[in-house]
Formats: sequence, C-alpha cells, structure tokens
Amino acid sequence: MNVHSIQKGFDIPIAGKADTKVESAPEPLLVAVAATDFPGTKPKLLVKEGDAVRTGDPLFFDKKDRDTVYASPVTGTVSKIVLGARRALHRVEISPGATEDYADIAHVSRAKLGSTSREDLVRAIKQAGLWPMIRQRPVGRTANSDVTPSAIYVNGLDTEPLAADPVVACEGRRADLEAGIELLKALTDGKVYVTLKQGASSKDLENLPGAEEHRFDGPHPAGLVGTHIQCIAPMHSSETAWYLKAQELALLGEWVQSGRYPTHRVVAVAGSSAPNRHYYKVRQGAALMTLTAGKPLGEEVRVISGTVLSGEAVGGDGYLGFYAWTVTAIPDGKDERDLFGWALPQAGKLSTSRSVWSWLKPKNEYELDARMNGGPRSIVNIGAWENVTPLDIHPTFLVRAIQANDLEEALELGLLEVTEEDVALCTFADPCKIEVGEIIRKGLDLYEEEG
Amino acid sequence: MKFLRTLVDKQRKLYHEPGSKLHKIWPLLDAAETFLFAPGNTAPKKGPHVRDYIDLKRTMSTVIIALIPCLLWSIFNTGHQHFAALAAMAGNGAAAADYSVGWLQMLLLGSDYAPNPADVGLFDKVVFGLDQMIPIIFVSYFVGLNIEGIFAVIRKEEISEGYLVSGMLIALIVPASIPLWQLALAVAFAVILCKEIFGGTGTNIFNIALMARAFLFFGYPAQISGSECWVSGNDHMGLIDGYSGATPLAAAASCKLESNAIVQAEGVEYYASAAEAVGYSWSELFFGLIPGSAGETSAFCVLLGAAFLLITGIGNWRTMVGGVIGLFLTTWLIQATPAGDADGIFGLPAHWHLVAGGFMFGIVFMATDPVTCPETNRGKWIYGILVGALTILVRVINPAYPEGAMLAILLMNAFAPTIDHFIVQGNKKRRKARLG
Repeated sequence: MNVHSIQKGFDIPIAGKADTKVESAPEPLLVAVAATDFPGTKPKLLVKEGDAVRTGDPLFFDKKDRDTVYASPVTGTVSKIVLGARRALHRVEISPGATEDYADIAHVSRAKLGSTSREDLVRAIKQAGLWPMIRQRPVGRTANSDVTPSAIYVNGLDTEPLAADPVVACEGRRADLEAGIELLKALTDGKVYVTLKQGASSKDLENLPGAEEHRFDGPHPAGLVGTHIQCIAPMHSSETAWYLKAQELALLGEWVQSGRYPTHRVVAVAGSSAPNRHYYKVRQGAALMTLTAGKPLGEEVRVISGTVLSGEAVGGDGYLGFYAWTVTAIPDGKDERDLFGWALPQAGKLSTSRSVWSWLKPKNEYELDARMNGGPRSIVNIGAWENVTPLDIHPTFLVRAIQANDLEEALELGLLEVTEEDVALCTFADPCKIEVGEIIRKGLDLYEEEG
Repeated sequence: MKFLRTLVDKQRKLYHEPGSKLHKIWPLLDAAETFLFAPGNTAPKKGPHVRDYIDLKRTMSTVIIALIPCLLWSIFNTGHQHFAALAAMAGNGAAAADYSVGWLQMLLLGSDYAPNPADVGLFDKVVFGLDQMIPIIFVSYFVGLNIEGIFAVIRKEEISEGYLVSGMLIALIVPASIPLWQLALAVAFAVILCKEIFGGTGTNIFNIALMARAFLFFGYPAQISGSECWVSGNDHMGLIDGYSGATPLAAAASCKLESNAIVQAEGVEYYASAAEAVGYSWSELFFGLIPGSAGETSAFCVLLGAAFLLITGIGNWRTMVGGVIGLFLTTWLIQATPAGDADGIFGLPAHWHLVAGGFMFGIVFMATDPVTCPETNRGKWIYGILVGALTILVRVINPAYPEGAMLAILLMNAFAPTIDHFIVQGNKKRRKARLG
C-alpha cells in the first residue's frame, strides 16, 4: 500500500467536533446559488425574479465558457437576485415550492461512458451544472476543460479542523462512487488517485476499481490536495491535475446513475457555538438556519460556511456554499480584550509557539474564537510558517516575491504548487498576523493575468 | 479591570475613528492601548478564522525576559567593578572622603555617603549599578521609542515592538561609563539611518543594537575601547581616572610570552600563557566578574537567557550552536599553525574565547535576530559558524580590535541575504529537477 507520512504541520485542537450521526435536515425555507463561490467566472443571468425553476434548471452561465451553467438545486420560485458591486451577480435566491420537479438535463449514462467522446462528456457535465465540482491545480479554480489532466485526485480525507469526514459523508454511496470513478477515467489518460486517511476503513471508499489508493498519515495539511500532489506525483510545470472531494465524486456518480441533478449533500455541523453538532443530509445552497435549529445564530457567533481554516464567514442568515461540506459556528469574540494579553503566561490559550505557556499542560481541545490576538506587522520570521509547512517551498521567500510583484521569481519558488488553503496554517501561526493566503492568491491572480 | 476597560474604551473614541480629535497621533495611543489590552479585532471573512495566541509583542517581550539575568548582572557588576577599582586606586579607606555621590546614591544613601571601598556590601554595589544603568536604559528607550513613535505616526501604522528588544540590548552592550549624549546620538543614528529609512522593524539589514554600538565604536572610540572605559566611576569624579580595567581580551592581546623572549626586557611583564595574562580565572570569566560592557560579561547569565529563548522557541538554536562550533574550530585551526605559539592572544584556548568578551551575548541575543539573520535553516547554520569564525579572526589576527563579536555579526548581517540566496537557489534547482 502507498502510505505517506507527513511530519510538519498542526492539527488545531478546536472544540466542538460533530457526532458521526447523520440526520436529515428539514427542507430549507430559502436556497441560494452564489456566483461568488466561483471567483474568476463571469456569470450571466438566465432567470429573473419571480421565475419558476425546476431542479436542475440553469440559473446563470459563465460568459467565459458558455457551456458551464450553474443549476438550481431545488424546484421553486426565484425570490430574489442579489447584485454586488458594479451590478455583478452575487447570488440567486430561490424559495422552494411544495413539490420537486426535475428538469431534463444533459446526461451520459454509465453504460455509455466508454463510448462517449471526451468532448461530449465534458459538455454534458457542464450543461448539467456539475462541472464546477472539478477543480484544478495549479491555481485552484474550476478545471479548464481544454487541458487534459495528467492525473485526477479524489480526496477521501479532510484534516482541516472539525471538517466533515468524507468516510461518514460518503456512507452508503459505493455505487455512486464507482460510477464517478468511471466518469473520471473517461476524462483523463492519466491515473485517478484516491487518497484516504491512514487507518481509516470505509466500505465505500476503499479499493475503488480503476483508482490508485494512497494513504496519508500525520497532522494537517496531510489532507490537502497540494500535499497529495507533491507526495504522489509532482507535476511538471506544463501539467495540470484535477481534484475533487470524495463527496463531490459521489454527486457526480449520482448524476451518472440517475440522470438527475444531485440535490442533497451530507455536511457536518461543528464548532463550540453550534447548537446540534452532527452530520446533516441537507439541500445544496440551503439557508444555514436550516442547520441551526431553524433560527439564525446571533452576532456574537461567527457562522462559517466551511471550516475555520478555509471557510467563509457568512453570518447566521447566510447560505451553504457550493464547496462547503462543513458548517462551523464559533464565538466571534469581537471587542473581547485580554488585559496584558501579551505579557501573561496565558496557559489556557492555544499557540504553536512555546512562548505561550499552554504547552506545559495542553488541553485536549480549546474553545477558540475569531480574534486576531495581535496587530498586523511586517514579516519577522521566527520560523512560524516553516514549522507548519511540509511542502518543499520557502513560504517567506515566496510571499516576498509576490509582494514585490516578481512573478518570475514567485514561479521559480513554487507558486503553482500552492493555493491559499496550503498556507492557511501559516496565517494561523503567524505572530505578525499576515494574511498569507491573500498574498498567495494575489500571486496566482497575477499569474493568470500574465499567463 | 472593568474600570480600566471602560476608561480605555472611552479614550479610544478620542482617536480611533478617522476625523476624531486625536486621530493624527493614533499609533502612539494605540500602542498604549494595546499594551494594556490585547486587540479585540477579529479575523476577516475569508481566510483562517482562528489565530494563534502569539503576536509580535509576546515574541519581543519573551526576549526581554531572557535578558533579565544579564540586566541584573549588569547592575551588580557595574557596582562591583566600580568599588574594586576604587579600592585598587585609593588604598583601603583613603578615598572615602572625596567620594562624589551619584543621583541615586544621594537619594537612597544621603549626600554625605562615603563608602569604604574595601568594605562595601551588595547593597552599595547594587545602588551604584542602578545609579549608572537606569539613566542608560532610560536614554536608550526614550530616544529610540520616540523616534519609532514619530515614524509610526508619519507612516500611519501601528508601532512595531522591535525596539523594545533593541533598546535593552543597546543598554547592555555599551560600557556603563558611556556619556549619555553619545548614547542618545548612537540610538538616533541606528534607529533612523539603519532601520526607519529601510522601512522599520522587519526590513532592516543590520542589527540595530550593534549598529548603535558600532557608531560609538568608530565615532567615539575613546569611550568604548582601550582599557579605561570599562569601569564606571561617577561623573566629574576623577577618582578612578587612569585606572586600567583592561578587558580580558585586551590583556591577552597585548601579552608577551616567556617562552618567546630570549632575553626578558626590563619593565615588561611576561606570562607563561595567554590565559594567565587575562588576569582572571576561567570561572571568573564564566560568571562575569570582569570589566566589560555592562551586560555582556557573564556567560552564565547569557546561558540562562539562551535556555529561556530555546525553551520558548523564540531564539534559533542553529545559529547559537553554529556560532560555538565556528569559534572552537577556528581557534583550534589557528593554534595548529606555527602562529599558535606567538605572543598575544594566539594561544588563548577556545573555551576561554567562548566566555571572554561579548561573543556569548552576541551569538545568543544578536546573531539570532530574526530580521537580520538568514531565514533558511541551513542558512542559519552557515551564518552561525561564520560569525564564530570571524569573531576569532578579528580577535586574533587584527591587532587593533581585541573584541570581534560585534564586527563579525555585522559583517555576517550583510551576507545573510547572500547565504539565503544560495539556499533558496538550491530549492529552485530541486524544483526544476523534480518538475522540469
């Protein structure tokens, strides 16, 4: 078996783990599809307020790639179209109707996967509204279908704090997963890799035919695709790899099997401020109050669509993001201030540094809030980033190159091997409170602009 | 505590928002505010929502704590050396009547204080030490922090904590007898010309404290080199003028060896070895009962600080270990050549070099400065080893400067980016080999 052991990294011991019990959430009162979940696209609306939509009907498409549509995950009425700055589409809100009516969407059945050309297959996935599930490295955006990937990675482990375990979220979906792998095999000439946690056992995810299985051991970021690529098959600079989560693979497989738009997903609700911490089967894009006992959590709680490392704070009245498999609710902590926070030993506070004296008697879990715990400073490198980065990159030098707008240097330093999620721990551990991910994204944007 | 918070929140209104009354000088008020209360701002909507408890204030204050043993020692030893010199110059009890009293001695012991130098207690020494050190520390911080504050206001950013450490370091690496106006000038030079014009903490090339010392060293050599500056007297006293409190390194550097003299000249002292010429035992050097810059004499106190830095992980062990290795290897190398038997410091054993002068203090507290040392781990090894090696080269080969740690570290500061460049180049090459 292929086992990779990650030494450097850090598992943030945050309180509020979700029970592995899976429950069906009630049908949401509102559902949204947010164009902001897909940065880099140019959305063009296909519906207007008051329109009736069926499940799977396209709501908007990408002007850069007109085949790629974004579909409604529910049958109902478009209740509101929210526009952002410069009238760019922010999100489409739909209030669900009483019955579910499936639109007749593009489809390739499992039997025809082998005989359909790659081009037709890609177009079908795009027109079915499922293409954004497949993302690519470098850059970490929706896959560019013009390029044939050298490999496709299916991520069956998630080491982010409190993240939904793909093993739980994929329970009972063996057939969908197998169909999904067949679909992926038709999209690449390279290998399809499935990554799993060392020691995890799953009837659904283990030994999927057609895929090569790799196990990962160690702290976060052992579960990130950036780590997997560097351990399994580092890419040449001309190559592209595609990746998706195991849960996303199950949804693709569901489409192959049923021909319908997959509407529901299993997400974990976690975090010390979440009322009921377990897994829910819930509709894509559901209003988050569906998962928090029917009413939005207050201002004093930060509700995150995603994990505390890579999610987005959307507020108690926000919606489940397209790429969110975890909903985390933690205390916000705004304006709570510690007297002499910098000077006292602070034995109860979490830190990767031993200058915070909690390492003498570490707690199993810490109730963390969203405070920065310090003011922004310019880079003073005490090794905080390097200590949590297992990749063979020098994060400080990479960040400096990007800050100096030196794209060529940044590329040589491995810019294309990372996205913001790979450096999230650097941002967490930094005494100078630098938004490392933001800088990395700025570098990647620069790369996309200049090609 | 609640009362304090209410007060802070109330004052905050006066400067926090743009357009408020004192908004122009918000960095100064913010510094005071965050000194009391950790900032209460939260993470942005995207990106990590939880953050490590460490911040730059804690990082820097950890180094300050590590400096406490050296600071305490500087207070004691300044007094100790002072009274030892007095005793040596004046003979038992003779000078007491002419003793001119310092400001703190006047406050605590009265204006008719007349110590018998042969019979002074710990309290007298500590009072004298404080008498000398408090003004030095005050001037160092007062000048440095004011400049930092002005630049922060101009730049409209929060005041960086870098000078908290630099200010203490400067106080500890100058002789306690340093004229305060020279010190003020040196601090201003270092902070403005070596740090702020480069962009402030995090962007300077040279260690600030060492630049201040180098400024004094080249600008006012009479007050920071030779043999008469290392023991502190009182202003306008003159009692210990002319007292030679040569540092051990200077003593060793100028010694003549018996074994090299065919005929022993009259009026010249000959020694069996360089170590004998030092005039102090190894353990006196180790514990620091010697003349020298205020806070760097005690290797023992430096080790206490080093232990604290290593336990907390704030200081980098690679630089420290590399430095010691470089120092030992270079000393052994020189002594393996014929020059090893020459007069002067050539024959001083490596473990004497280690505890004499400012090397230990420099390698632990200044070579590890995260801003001016290499950032790669392998670079830190190379850098440390070269600092150790250069220290010995300056001490031994260069007859003009008995102490080499300062120049060695400053020189390596200049090369730190080059060292990193080659290490990072290796990373790029590996990437190219791997990815094509």
